[in-house]
Amino acid sequence: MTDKNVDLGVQFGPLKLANPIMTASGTCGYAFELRDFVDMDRLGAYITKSITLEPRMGNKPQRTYEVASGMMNAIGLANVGLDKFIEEKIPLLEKMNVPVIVNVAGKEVPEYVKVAKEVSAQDCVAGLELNVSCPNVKEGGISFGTDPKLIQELVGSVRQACPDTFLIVKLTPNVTDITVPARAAIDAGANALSLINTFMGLAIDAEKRKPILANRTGGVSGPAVKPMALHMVNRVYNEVAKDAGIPILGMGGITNATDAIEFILAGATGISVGTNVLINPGCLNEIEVGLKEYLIRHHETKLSDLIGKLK
Amino acid sequence: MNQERIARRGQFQGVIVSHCPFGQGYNSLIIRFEGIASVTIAKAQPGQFVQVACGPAGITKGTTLRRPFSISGVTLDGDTTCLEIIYRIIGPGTEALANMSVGDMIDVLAPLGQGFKLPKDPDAKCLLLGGGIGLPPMFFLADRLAQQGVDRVGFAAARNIEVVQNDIVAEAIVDNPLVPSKAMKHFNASDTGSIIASDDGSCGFKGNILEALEGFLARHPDWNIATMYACGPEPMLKALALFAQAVDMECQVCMEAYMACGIGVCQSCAIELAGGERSYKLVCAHGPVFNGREIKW
Ligand SMILES: Cc1cc2nc3c(=O)[nH]c(=O)nc-3n(C[C@H](O)[C@H](O)[C@H](O)COP(=O)(O)OP(=O)(O)OC[C@H]3O[C@@H](n4cnc5c(N)ncnc54)[C@H](O)[C@@H]3O)c2cc1C
Ligand SMILES: Cc1cc2nc3c(=O)[nH]c(=O)nc-3n(C[C@H](O)[C@H](O)[C@H](O)COP(=O)(O)O)c2cc1C
Ligand code: FES
Repeated sequence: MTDKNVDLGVQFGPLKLANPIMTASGTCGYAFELRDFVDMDRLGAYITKSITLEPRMGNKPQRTYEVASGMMNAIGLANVGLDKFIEEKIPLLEKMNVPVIVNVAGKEVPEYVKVAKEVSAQDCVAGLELNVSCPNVKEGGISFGTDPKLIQELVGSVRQACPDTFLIVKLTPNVTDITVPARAAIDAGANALSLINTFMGLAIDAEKRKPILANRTGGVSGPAVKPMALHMVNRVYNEVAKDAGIPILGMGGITNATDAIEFILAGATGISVGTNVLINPGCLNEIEVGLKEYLIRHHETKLSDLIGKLK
Repeated sequence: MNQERIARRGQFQGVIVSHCPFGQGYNSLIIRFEGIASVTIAKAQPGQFVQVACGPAGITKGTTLRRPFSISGVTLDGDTTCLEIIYRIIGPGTEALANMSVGDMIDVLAPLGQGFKLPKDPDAKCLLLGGGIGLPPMFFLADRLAQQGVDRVGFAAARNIEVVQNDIVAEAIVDNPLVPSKAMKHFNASDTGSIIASDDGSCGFKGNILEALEGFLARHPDWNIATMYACGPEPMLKALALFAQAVDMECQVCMEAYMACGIGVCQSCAIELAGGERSYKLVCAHGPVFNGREIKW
């Protein structure tokens, strides 16, 4: 068997993707920033950085920090804001040869709705990923994603404003039972789920007796979080998503094709790579090659046959 | 569209051809590249940097962030290009790097960022001010200015001589330490005279780099129109940038920030800009070289 005989294609909601590999929001820029290192045409889909209504400066530095087998970040959603995104980045995204998914964030429901409506109206946008990990200003800063009622209100409002848009809801892992927000998102109209965003953490400089990140806390990502991410993907797949027919975009510590296969076996239809792109951007293309090799080695022809096939 | 572009940077593997001490706790590392890597890296500009996977290529990939280092020199040799970095052993990344040997393969993203703006006028004068681990980009800059035939003086400042000892020929320092000499090998390589300053007076001028610069300018008034190029610890850059503003000289500074990607996708390396409202630029993409007036000191 050669790699011509194997099919990496997956059906991700309405999108027929050539392979399951996607960028993770916030680690791959707005459009073509990675093109000197990655053949963007060989991605399954491209996911942008989180976009908010107003431009955001982001947090004071230091914004990132390396930890054992991973990193922490407290970027503070620094981004150019909706207007500049439409004006400057959409024309670039129009040239993208793979489906484009725009990640949307906000502080209040109306803000999400406004951004979602305007972005989804662009021809080149194939879907939205709602980042519900952001603090909700109206509810005193608690994350939308940790309260099922808030998730329903948020996802329901965006669904109403954009009835035909392919809507992915990106869940935060900072909850006791991940199936609760997963169910809430699906009930409110999500077409797919992304799991997971980063785990809340704290890094301390013992000499200075101060937090290392200017924001105090930050999100942990990279190989350190992979076991937790796999567990959450598997639980949501088995207990919620499989029966609901909702595909999962799995992420958290993926560095190579074996990691990607693990997520697919756990129940993910697509996979995103975040932290590792910062280290080895070429991995986005290496994973494609590695997935084919895995299928050949296991005498399989279709990657999609492996989704959720954890014994 | 991707195929038609000629990439200005990339992810490359090269082989270590030299790895030796530069001074106390400092190493010089030379990596040789072939093929497309050679062609791309040959176009590197002074002030640009590389993101190094600090471990054998393929092994540490995926477990640790890369570490950024200024390019201290690029030499073309037939179809290959050699790139030098000089680094201080300070933590896990640079310790892992120090354990690599001649013959090992090493993985880099290069060349990254915006380098120094070189003078267009052949009659320009350039002051190259490097403090401690800020010296490497100055060696590269000296080399390029020499190729253009631009008048230049290198300043090398350190707390004490040990930091740079392997690069210094102390006997070459002339009686007056504020007269450029052939004392620093890496500046000599491009026939660039250098002034050495140490805080403790263990070598060259006793005092900091600003004091050395002021002393030099007092003796050489014709250099008051020179452009300053500076890299080193932030307090040094601040002092030099504020001095430049006060005497109305141009000062380009090469800044550092904690980086994750080094290629402009993660927003880690924000640096605050001067001016009323809080605003940032990215050191890895908009810098690392900035006009001294741009930075909020
Ligand atoms: C554009 C740029 C050019 C640089 N050029 C050189 C150079 O030519 N030679 C050289 O020796 N060093 C250079 N540095 C600094 C070098 O990157 C750090 O010393 C190195 O990352 C330390 O890694 P470590 O794991 O050994 O130490 P760690 O234990 O990770 O860190 C030791 C110290 O270095 C600081 N540091 C860690 N990572 C970075 C980072 N990404 N940027 C800045 N500081 C950091 C830490 O805050 C800490 O104070 C440069 C940094 C930048 C941003
Ligand atoms: C530097 C950095 C910035 C991020 N920014 C965003 C963001 O803007 N929006 C978002 O939904 N997730 C963001 N994330 C989370 C990632 O998309 C991803 O969910 C998480 O890092 C887990 O995957 P990984 O282990 O492969 O990085 C960010 C992660 C990192 C490391
Ligand atoms: S280090 Fe990632 S944007 Fe500068």
